[in-house]
Amino acid sequence: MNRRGELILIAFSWCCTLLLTAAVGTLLLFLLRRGLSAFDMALFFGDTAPLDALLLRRPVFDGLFPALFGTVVLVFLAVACAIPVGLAAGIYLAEYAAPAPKRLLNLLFDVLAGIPSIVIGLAGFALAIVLHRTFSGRIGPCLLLSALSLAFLVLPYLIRSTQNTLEAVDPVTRRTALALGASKLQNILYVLLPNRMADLTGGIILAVGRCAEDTAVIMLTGVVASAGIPDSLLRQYEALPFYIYYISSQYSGPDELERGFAAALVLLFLCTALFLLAFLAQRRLKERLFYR
Amino acid sequence: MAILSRTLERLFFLAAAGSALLTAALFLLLVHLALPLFEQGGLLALLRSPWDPGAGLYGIYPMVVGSLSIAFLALLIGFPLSLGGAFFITTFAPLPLRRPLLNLVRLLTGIPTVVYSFAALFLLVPFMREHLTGGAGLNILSAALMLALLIAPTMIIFFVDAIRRVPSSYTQAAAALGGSPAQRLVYIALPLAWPGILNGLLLALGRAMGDTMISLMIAGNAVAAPESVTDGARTLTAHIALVIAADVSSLEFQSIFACGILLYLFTAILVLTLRLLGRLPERHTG
Amino acid sequence: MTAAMTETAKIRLADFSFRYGKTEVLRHISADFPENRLTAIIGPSGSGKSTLLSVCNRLWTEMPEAKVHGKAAIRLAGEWHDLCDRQAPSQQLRRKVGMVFQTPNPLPMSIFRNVAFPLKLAGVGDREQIRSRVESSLRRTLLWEEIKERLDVDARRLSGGQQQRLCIARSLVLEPEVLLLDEPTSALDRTAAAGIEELLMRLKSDCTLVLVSHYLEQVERLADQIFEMSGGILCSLETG
Repeated sequence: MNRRGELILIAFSWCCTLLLTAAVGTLLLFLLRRGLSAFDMALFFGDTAPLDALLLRRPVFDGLFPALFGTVVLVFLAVACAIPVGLAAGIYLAEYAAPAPKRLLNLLFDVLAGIPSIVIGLAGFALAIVLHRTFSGRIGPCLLLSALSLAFLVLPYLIRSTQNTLEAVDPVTRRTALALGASKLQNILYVLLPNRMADLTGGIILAVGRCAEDTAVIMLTGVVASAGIPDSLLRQYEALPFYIYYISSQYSGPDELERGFAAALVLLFLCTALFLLAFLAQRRLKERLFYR
Repeated sequence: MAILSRTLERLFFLAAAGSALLTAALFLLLVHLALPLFEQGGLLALLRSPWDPGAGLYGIYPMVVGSLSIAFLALLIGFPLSLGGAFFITTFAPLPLRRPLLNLVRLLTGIPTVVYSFAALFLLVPFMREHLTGGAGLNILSAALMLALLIAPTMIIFFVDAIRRVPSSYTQAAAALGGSPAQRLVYIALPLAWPGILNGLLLALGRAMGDTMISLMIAGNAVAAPESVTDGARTLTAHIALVIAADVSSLEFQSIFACGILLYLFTAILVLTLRLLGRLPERHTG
Repeated sequence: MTAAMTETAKIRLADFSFRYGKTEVLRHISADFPENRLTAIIGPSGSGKSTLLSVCNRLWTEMPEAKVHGKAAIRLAGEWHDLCDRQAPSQQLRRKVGMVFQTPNPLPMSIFRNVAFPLKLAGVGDREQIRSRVESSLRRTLLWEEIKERLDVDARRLSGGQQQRLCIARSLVLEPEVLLLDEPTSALDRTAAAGIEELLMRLKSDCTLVLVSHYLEQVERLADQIFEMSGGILCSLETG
């Protein structure tokens, strides 16, 4: 490669980087500029007193609070369902599975990880139809269905991160407790998992972020534009990502559009914060002693 | 203790087997619900015919074309950009900039799609409308541009990883022979890293095909098969989101299960391809 | 009682072979390792020495691709245990057959908890007993005086030699009958290595030691019996 070729390659790399940075930067600055102006208490709580809203004493009609509340509950439920299953399956894959079933399971979980979220949502919806037919109308799209579908969506990530994490334990550490007479399970619970707590936590936080931002699954499984705070898991609910989508197509005036921008900003902050949390968790926990 | 550990170990197995069964069951559920549609003429007929509910035609050909054209155009735009970005981060960026840049790219993978689409709807789309394509600005090009931006961070991370995994002994050997950073990248790293790069590209294709919000919000959702990049188009994913509200027993509604089956099969084929690629022996330079 | 009369075998291999996948690691090995003696195995790296150690505490059963043939057995508390049986429970056996690895491998916890860890695994709950056993184990490895003020410190902060003695103490806390040592001094400097050697000489009186080493001179100083491993074949060397 001659000098000119090199220069072209270098210039190309700089241009690509600058172009990507500029594009993302422009979009985010645009969001910030339009969204920040609508940021105040009324954005979240409307005309209701914040304390009353937080204690669920009085409903919030035009604020983001119900959507934010819905998202938090939804994410909590989904992750609470997915974590035990994901950890258990990951442990099985890494520590117990024989080579042949392991190959098959790996393949299936790769497929699951690649299935578009809208198809997972569709499956949730289809399940609701089947249940509807079987139990004549008592179960429809609702918070619980969304949470289960989301749990299914992030399940492969949790499985994979648990599995990779365990398989990355160096052979010396892996054998240490075994040579001291630990059973396989003792080794997993006392040494392998605690040894890798940082990576596990990071993986879980990223799964939380994935649940918080997903729109496609929930729009098929029970989210609606206005539902207030659901009083049971079998009710429809509001969520932040869907609110943003809804505003984008149905806004009635500049005020509502401003709120849409602000909502997008809130979701952006939320996901960025979760990401930073995962990042810091991996760093801090790695330096710390974990199991004393 | 023995009972407890046996119970736990059985639970581990059940969790893995259960998740795997659910993955398979998902496909069967989609097929089961699409059966009435298949009785009308099978998946292939659906793939070929247009969407015209008025005339009783529920083909998903336009959506297949829409999905493929948006995804491939996004790859066409995103791939060189990401490759350049990866070159920059691994080779040409000033040293203190490399780590922060890579972390920034990681951060970008976490930006919600709906936020991207929302910003694009009120920034890129008006720009398209007024300066480039005219019309509503909701078209394949707008969607592909945004999708390229969405999948670029994923690709960059894979490419950087692939380039960095090339053993440093090779690049050092080339450096000792007087190779410049650019020469080391092109002659040593790239030929060894290409399986990883291909891997990232295919995963990005999967991500592009599977995205819902960008195409739903800015591709225009036109039901006719698009003829140019300035036409609006509807993707398989957006079609599912749009038709979900229709009457559950109608053929129109059942077409979304055909879309679901297609997307599932596409994913499965992609994963199998990646598996086969993974088995390829590492190619060496020379 | 003469030396010859106490010379009973602790570990016995008879026509023992070991395969890992398609590679034959150990070939037709027959040997006796006598009780309360230090048996040393020398040989180039990759010759199968470490594999042989992993047979003696059944750690080989953790490798899915490993296969064994022939006979290998260990005598614990007067009873022979088959080492070739993949299905047999290994935990009890490993509690009586300690192992020390090439690089010191303290777990990321305090010094005290490291040594107490095997007791936790074995289900010992009595705190007073744990304390006294940890202390006596640390005394046996001559570590107690150096670190008794710092028992809550992260074990990874100790020096290399101290870490390795800690790992030996951790193995000794269960009062094993056999201690397997896989090049325990190769990651250490001279002084630390000398400390470990001295320790091994003292342990010999009530524990059967099997030492894998690179260094013939080290082995000649310490061992009662020397084997040389090469290409998976074990042969006895004269002791000097």
